[in-house]
Amino acid sequence: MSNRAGVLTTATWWWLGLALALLASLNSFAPIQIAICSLSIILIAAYASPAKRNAALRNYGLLAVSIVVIRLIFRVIFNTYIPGQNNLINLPEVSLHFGELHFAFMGPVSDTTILDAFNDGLRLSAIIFGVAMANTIANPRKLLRSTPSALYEVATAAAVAVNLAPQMLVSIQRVRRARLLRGQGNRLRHLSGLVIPVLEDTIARSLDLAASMDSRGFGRRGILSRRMVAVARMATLLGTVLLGLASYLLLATNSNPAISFGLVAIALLLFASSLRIWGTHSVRTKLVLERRGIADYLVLALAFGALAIVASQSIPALQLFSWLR
Amino acid sequence: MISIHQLSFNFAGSSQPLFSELDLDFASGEFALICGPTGGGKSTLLKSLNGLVPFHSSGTLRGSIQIDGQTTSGKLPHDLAHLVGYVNQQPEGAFVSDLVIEELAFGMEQLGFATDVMHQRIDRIAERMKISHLLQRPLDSLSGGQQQRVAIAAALVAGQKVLLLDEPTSALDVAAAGKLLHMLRELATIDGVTVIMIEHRIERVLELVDSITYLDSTGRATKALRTEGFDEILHQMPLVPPMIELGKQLNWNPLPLSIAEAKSLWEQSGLPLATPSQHTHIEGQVALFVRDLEVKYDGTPAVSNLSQSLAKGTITALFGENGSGKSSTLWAILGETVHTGTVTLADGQDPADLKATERLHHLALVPQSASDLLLLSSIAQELEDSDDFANAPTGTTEALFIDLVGAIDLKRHPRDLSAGQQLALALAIQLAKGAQILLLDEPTRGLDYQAKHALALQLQQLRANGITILLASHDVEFVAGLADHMLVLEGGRAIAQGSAAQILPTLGEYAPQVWQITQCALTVQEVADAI
Repeated sequence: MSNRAGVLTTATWWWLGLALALLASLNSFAPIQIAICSLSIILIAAYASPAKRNAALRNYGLLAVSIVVIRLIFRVIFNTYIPGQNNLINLPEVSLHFGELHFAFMGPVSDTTILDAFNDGLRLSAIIFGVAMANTIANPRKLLRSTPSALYEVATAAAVAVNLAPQMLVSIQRVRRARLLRGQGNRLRHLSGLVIPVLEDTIARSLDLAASMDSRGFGRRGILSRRMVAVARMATLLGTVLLGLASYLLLATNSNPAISFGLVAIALLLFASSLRIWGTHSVRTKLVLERRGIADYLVLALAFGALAIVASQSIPALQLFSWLR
Repeated sequence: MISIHQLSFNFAGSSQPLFSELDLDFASGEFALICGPTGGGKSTLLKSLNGLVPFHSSGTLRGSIQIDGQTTSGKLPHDLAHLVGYVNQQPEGAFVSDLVIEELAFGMEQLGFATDVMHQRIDRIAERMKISHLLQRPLDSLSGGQQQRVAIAAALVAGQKVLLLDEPTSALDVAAAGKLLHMLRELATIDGVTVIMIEHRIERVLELVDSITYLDSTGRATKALRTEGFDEILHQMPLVPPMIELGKQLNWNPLPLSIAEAKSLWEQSGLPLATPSQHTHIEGQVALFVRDLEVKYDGTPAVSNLSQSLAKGTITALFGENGSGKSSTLWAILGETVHTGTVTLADGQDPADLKATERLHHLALVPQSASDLLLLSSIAQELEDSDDFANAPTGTTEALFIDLVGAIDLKRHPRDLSAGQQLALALAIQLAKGAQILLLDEPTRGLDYQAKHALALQLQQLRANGITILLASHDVEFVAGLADHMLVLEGGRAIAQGSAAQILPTLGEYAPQVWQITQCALTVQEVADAI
């Protein structure tokens, strides 16, 4: 982490990134998505280490733009035109018939379709920018090393996963450079040939990282009775199930949102107790404690406050900001 | 300290054990070398000592391992972390922090050390590994040698009694490797750490280690201590460092383990000290002409004022330490890196002006990781695709490949080939388009003596066929047996340039072993020819 990024703790950067990503996923109001993208870009420009800054902005920027473009192309090809909408472009319609089944592609494209597709793409881009901001400013490996040992199995998987994306960029660059030497440009047959060395390289190196962390004691726990281990594991599992159920109820049915929020509360309690059980037997210490300061609390309060307001819009009684829907 | 009893390992789904019923002991404070051919199970044996095998691999481990009086087989790596430190080949991929000091603290944080103890231990190990001045530096700003020292410090900082190292010097140049090996010797002698190390390049290791464990390709292990049995084990190994080879050639008994020993044996042998045979300068048609080559990255020169002409059908070595500008030179000659100065082919063209496809008819580069060039799912497909692309008659690439490695099952997947075979396949593909100039970037990296020997023969054959070769290498022994001309780079500048026979003797401690011993010949072959 660069010195400037030290104004917030590693965990705060990641909470902020995740809150922004969640915020983006919970609404489809374009100005909010644009604000999230801009905020992330400004934060990267201001706080990321100079070595990472430019590459990150370029790569994630390209990714975001290509997501929007791909989204638009898809919606134009798999187009459903509802009569009465304002027709923007008139493309020839292609119909395919498989017996009873009938597929239509392209055809007249309305401005609503284009706008929807653009909003969808924008939302995905905003999610990516939120996480990219945290990833660029605060080294994810540093976050991993302070993961509670209750989450050891998850954290090891995450250690492998988190390392995949940056490692993959490095591998792709190397393999592409090598392929240039062989002189075969963009022939389709070689696409699999690009994928295999890149994946092999990426995965091997991520597994190396996991092996190295394990060899140095990562995931070590104090002595805990078998029963307590079982209780802690059950609590984690049950909490996860409840969380899943709650999100299903919230999104998919017309049930009372209060039930969902109740379930979330119970799930959080279960997680907390599981962490507490492991925590009392944790052996881990820190050389330098990262202390949360006023800045951290302010940022967290703002981020989660905004998140709460947007989330609350799903409860009819709380719909104060109708324009957010 | 370590006692291995009846240890066997099978890969999942394989009935053939990688190694079986090994019985080995390692004493406290022993500096042990494990060597043997590629694929013999050296890494697996090493990783079984801290639980990475079988817990981070697929396969079954049987038998028992005891370390420091406890049975450790069956325990997870993190439960052995206080006892055994492990350092893998590429430390930069295993770092979990940004700063050196954080990296050193990581292991102790997991083990629950108190903060003040952590600071004491970090200071002590940093002094031992000579990295005190680097503590506040970001890890990615360190050189390869410094990174390797940080990784070792991080593996031992919690007071581990055993240190496992998998080819720690493979990415280091001679100076950094020598420094590291002496530090390991001190860790064993002074601190009583049991150091177990896998190495391919053993020429500078033999004089330092207490024992050699040779794991052959059938999965049998032989262990010998310095005090007894070194001779037999060195005789048993098929290919050994030039110093040992010279000893074998001259029937020295016992074989020398250090240059100093070999020197005195050579003097006693009373062989005629002929004056160095100056090879006649090979003059011929110029295949590639380079003048005033200069490469800059962000304004910092990586290569400056480099001039060299390559005569057709010769091998020229670009010799130098890591970061001396070898790779940059190769990529600039190819025209892929922005540079100033002149690069001209025999027909007067500049490779940078040619299209990538056209250029391949003149010159080709094989990069450090040659396997990156292999893209298809069988050797046969690779060969066919290469012919196709080169517009060459069917079988052209195959003939080149078979010439290099002999008969081989063409249905195999290129990724299942050994590193040496992959390199040969890449060479064949690159040459199929008719390139007469071949650029090689560190071709011996990751090859054992056997593969290096095979590669040297392959390159000699290509030279005999009129191919002009420019190879970047820091492997002096490889260069000594092969190169006609040499260009020594330091900090991007040529500090010496001339025929290999003139340059090699001037390299001091970097000179080939046989020269250091005899002061009159560069390779064992030359000595053998003289008597």
